[in-house]
Amino acid sequence: MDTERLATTFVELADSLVDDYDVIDLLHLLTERCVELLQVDAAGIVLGDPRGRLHLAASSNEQVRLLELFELQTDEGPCHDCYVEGQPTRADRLNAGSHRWPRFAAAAGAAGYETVHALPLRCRDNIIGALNLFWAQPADVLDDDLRVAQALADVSTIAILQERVSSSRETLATQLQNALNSRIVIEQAKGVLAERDGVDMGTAFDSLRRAARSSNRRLADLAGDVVEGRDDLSRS
Amino acid sequence: MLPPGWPEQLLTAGGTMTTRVARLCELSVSSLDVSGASLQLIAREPHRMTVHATDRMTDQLDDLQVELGEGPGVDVARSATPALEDDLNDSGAIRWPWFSPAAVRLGAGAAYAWPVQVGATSLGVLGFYRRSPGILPSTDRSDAVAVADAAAIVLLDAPEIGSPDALVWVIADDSRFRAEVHQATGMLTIQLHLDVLDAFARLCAAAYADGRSIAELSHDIVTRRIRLDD
Repeated sequence: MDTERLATTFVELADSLVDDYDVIDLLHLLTERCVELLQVDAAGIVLGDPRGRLHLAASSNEQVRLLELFELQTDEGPCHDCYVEGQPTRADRLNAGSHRWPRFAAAAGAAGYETVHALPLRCRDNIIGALNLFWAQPADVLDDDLRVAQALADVSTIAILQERVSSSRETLATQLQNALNSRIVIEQAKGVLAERDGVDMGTAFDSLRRAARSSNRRLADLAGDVVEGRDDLSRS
Repeated sequence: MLPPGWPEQLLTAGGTMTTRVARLCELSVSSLDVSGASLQLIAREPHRMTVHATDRMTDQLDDLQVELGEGPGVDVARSATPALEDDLNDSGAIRWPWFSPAAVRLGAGAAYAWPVQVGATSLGVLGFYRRSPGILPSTDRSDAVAVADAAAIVLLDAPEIGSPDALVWVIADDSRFRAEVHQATGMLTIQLHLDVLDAFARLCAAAYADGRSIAELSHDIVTRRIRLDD
């Protein structure tokens, strides 16, 4: 295992927790790093909803058969059992079939995977989902690799729980109002640019969006400056 | 009076945020002594977005308050305390000298509004109207508070706003958001050399003077059929 790469990964994950992180981006990063660091062929993260159903939140690739494997695990499979029991769960020799998960084993075998490990995303007694690692070959999975994978899973658990805490009801109420205000000011800015430049609303929106992207600013912030006459987009 | 078990029925019935808010408004009209009900989200002053209104008169009364800058919903958005007016012909005419007579002309006799609070945040306004003047029974007044609380839950537990980022798109995709009103306001800042608040005030005044809705006038401005600097 590349320890330098591993250290970088943890720094990346920790960094992404600091400011306005997007959980889905973070989870995608995590699955990609699992593939790189642990020589797995595919990785994915499923999260449970309040009703206990599992949903795929991120995966290292978008291969349809892989996605179907996650879908199937709503009912059975190592990932499902891992989520329910909160324990690491492994499945080997899937091509030979399995008594424990017959439908999953058949589907995984058909998709070309031999070995699957599922690691719980847990924080104390709270199990929020699972990290899944897929190998195409019969894999001799090292304990060290699994420990690293579990540590990566733990970091993602914290990231997810942090976002859920910050999405408390009052925060959500404020966010709802902010979203509404952002939409209002963006529409106003479109009107300003459309009237000033004699263009239609779509063209006005395009120039607003382009200017926001090139100056790396939030669309609503730039729109506010346009409406208040502090920015005429001439720099872009 | 609201039927027993209504909160559970409402909250377990499923549906999107919008359909649940609609159900809550309809339930209020069928169970309480009111003719119309609406729920609005409070945005930056003076803007509010209607999530649902049970009928055209209710919608017009909500618009009227924005146009005139006064009325129960305006008071609630500013003060976060209920605003109850049993008689728009009499005491209401003193309280809201512009809104009350205009509301009476639209057919309203009494107007009430309650804040939809989440912690310290005023999220929305629950508005009730009645055609005839008269005191709202005290059971209906306490039911209204419960309806406002239920509205807060329904607004925030909406399946379509599961993630904060999704909020923006719920609102953006919504036809009730009235994008053209805000686009027209932006155009007027240029046409009339006004700041955005004054431009919106001019839009409202022009609509009121023409006896048209803000939405209709805004559409004509955005499609460049009307300019206000002529």
